[in-house]
Amino acid sequence: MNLTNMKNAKILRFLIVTGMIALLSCVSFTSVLARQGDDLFALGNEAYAEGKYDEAIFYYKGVLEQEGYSASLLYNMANAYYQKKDIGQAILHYERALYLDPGNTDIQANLGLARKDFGLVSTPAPDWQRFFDLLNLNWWGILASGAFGVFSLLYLLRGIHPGILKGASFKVLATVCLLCFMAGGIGAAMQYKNISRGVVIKDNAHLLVSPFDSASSSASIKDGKTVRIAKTYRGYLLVEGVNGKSGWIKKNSVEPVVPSGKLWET
Amino acid sequence: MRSLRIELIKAIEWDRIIIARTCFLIVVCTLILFAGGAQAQGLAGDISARVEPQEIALGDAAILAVYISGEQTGAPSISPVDGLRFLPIEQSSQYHSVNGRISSTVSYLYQVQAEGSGDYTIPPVRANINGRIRKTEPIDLRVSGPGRSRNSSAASLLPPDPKVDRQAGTSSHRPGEENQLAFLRVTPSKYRSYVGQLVPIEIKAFFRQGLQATLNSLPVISNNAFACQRLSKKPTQTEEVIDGVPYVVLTWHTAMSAVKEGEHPVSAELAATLIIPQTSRRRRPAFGSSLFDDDFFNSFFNTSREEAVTLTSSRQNMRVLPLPKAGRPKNFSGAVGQFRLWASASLKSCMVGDPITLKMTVKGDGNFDRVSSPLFTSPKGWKTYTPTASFKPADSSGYKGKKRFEQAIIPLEASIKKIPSVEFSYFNTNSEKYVTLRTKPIKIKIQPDSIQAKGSSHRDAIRKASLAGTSDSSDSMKTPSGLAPIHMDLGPVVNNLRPVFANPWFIGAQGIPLGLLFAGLFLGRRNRRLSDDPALLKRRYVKQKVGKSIKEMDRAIVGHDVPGFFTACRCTAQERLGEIWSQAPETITLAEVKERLSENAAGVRHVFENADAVAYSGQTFSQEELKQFRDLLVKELKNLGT
Repeated sequence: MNLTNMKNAKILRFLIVTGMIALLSCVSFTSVLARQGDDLFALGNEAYAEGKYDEAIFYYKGVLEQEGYSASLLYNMANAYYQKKDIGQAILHYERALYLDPGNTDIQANLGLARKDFGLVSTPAPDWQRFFDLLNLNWWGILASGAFGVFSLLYLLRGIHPGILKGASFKVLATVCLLCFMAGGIGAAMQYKNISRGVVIKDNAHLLVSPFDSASSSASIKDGKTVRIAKTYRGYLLVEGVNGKSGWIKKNSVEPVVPSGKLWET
Repeated sequence: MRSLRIELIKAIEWDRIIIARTCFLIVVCTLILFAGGAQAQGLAGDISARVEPQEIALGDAAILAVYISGEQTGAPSISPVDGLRFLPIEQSSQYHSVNGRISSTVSYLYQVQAEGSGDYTIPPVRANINGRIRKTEPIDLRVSGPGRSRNSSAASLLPPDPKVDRQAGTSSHRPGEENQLAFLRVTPSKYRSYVGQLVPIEIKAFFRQGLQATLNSLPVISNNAFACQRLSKKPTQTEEVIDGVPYVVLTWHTAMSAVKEGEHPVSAELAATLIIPQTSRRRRPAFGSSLFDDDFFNSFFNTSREEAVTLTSSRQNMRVLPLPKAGRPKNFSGAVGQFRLWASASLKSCMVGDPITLKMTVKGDGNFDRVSSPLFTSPKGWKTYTPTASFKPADSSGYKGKKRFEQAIIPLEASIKKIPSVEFSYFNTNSEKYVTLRTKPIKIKIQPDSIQAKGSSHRDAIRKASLAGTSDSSDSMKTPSGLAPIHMDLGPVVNNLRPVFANPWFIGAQGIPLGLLFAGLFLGRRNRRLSDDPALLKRRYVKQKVGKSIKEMDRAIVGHDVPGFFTACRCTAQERLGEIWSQAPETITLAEVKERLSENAAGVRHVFENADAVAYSGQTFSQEELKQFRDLLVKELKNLGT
């Protein structure tokens, strides 16, 4: 009897340690890395404050190369582009900032203002959707995955020691995990739509009826417009606008909101 | 003498009879004369009038009914009354034939609208009946309720809502509607309005039942003095009977507003195609009825023709008044009606520079398209953005509803304690005055910016510069620039924007919880199975017991405890044999072992024999021998199970 108990205890310990490592490894994905670009960022801000927007963008790009993406960095870049009246790049960087920090009201306000000032109509998101803007795609995914992990661990503990989690406590914990899993799944699905979105960065880009240089144009599209990238073919993208218009557009006219999006890579 | 007396009596009786008969005749003749007189009076014609109800509130309407009977009757003449308006609603006739003479009773209905409260007297209504002018008695009408007295300027008063008895209005044809296959009616809810005021109207298209019709357009208000709200493409369909004729009625509820002042006729047009059935003109057979002379063949041979028609409603005048210039607020945007206003803030405490969403709601009825966002009363110390608006109509015409505005505002100073009140001005059609609604200031706690608190002059300068460069406080409404300030902290950084679940390691890591789940399910199932199987539990128990005894044996070998070793050996063998033979281990003896075990289990027999010997004779064995016994026993017990 004692031998079996000892074995079970060992298994339990191993599982807990393994679970913790797995959880930590998930969390560590988004952990903040050592920053060396703080100075560059500050220089960019200074240049922005002095109205030297090109210089500010230069510094911000340096931070981007050294450190990577951050919502604040992208937001500041977008502001600088906005001041330069480069609406395509401004909207693109606001969208990217919003992808990382969907609930940020500064980003939302400036994006709305930029769209309004440059005559880009956008439909406001319904109230219920705002809940899913609290976290970004990655965090919703991690929440769903973590909740699933905890749920599985609960089941395992119960399998090893049926007496550990009995009755209401298990039910409550399991229900909480399942709710978190569902919320995470829905949140991830809601945010996933950003993956296939792109922003037109060239003014009056032409939508073509087929992905060839000789194809006739079906419409022109303003820079700053957000489109859904449906397909890629050689140097062309099949895009769909908000109003349902679709057509092929040159790849260099559209920048995806998520640069490493699956569609972009194909 | 006696005979004379008898003659006299007879004469008196005769006279009495004659007198009685004469009296009877006189009575009969009088009755006939009275009756004839009455009839003559009826034939001569009569006029009567009454008003219902006799007392109304200001804004309501009464109905004046005038009945004229006679052989030859003319239209009634109503003398004008200061402060009252008489609007004809409908006219209906009934014909009587008495002794070959035809007379008619014509009823005229008027809607009576009052322009102010007070007691009115409608003078006698006159009409020409059979060549003679006849008149009614004067009628009193009392108008109560708020509003100006009848002596005040009538021109600036709003028209009352004519709450006409709709049953009376819809149960009879209006002039020009009789004998029509289809006709159109427009009923505004008010007959006087202000420029820009939204007036709900009801448009009804009547089609004789059984008639097929196709609408080629939606009803259109034919006067360009009015702008009509969008009509529903699916009107409500009902059935009504007017003067005994059933109709299919299509009803649109919408609202219109006058764009210029003056007296304008209100009428509508509707293009439709009627499919009119036509009976084929087959010749009747000269003799008897034909085989095809029944309903079935009649309907079979009937043809129909299509006729494109434009239905036009009768004209009803609407008086449109200009909005008064006196007292017009500066922020008046043209909203006319009755509205309420309230506001709330998304945050109750924040830091300088944090955006707050100010939610403002205007609810009521009126022209919501002219309802613009309420304005900040004192925008100093605030950066404001252009508000967004959304309208939620409460009825199909968009007359009633709720318009919500959301405005992003940013406090620029920590000294601010309240979000200032917001103002909204409109023209109230009830009080006929401009009204400015003002919300209460919202208390808010604003903390100094953390950057300012740190005293970092470098960042502070940038912050201030960015605020100055992008915000323009109250002027933000005027210039397109109004960006929220840049962020000072880099915040969390990621290497790329690739979603986490696009990484193979993340997908692989999902195998861990999946594996844990399956392991948990497996173990749980196993536990349940074990708890339900007594044989399995017994086997597990014996296994544990044997294991424990072997440990005892090992301990006894190490301590050279010969009796203890053989006791443990016997205990081990008994447990194992008891499991195999399904009997209590304590009951297994040497004799039974000798009898039931084959030659292959010599070790077990030796254990039993030596255990007894050691117990009774004190025989000893070396540690090496004990170890050999142990290995032999363990091996044989293992083999016993196979």
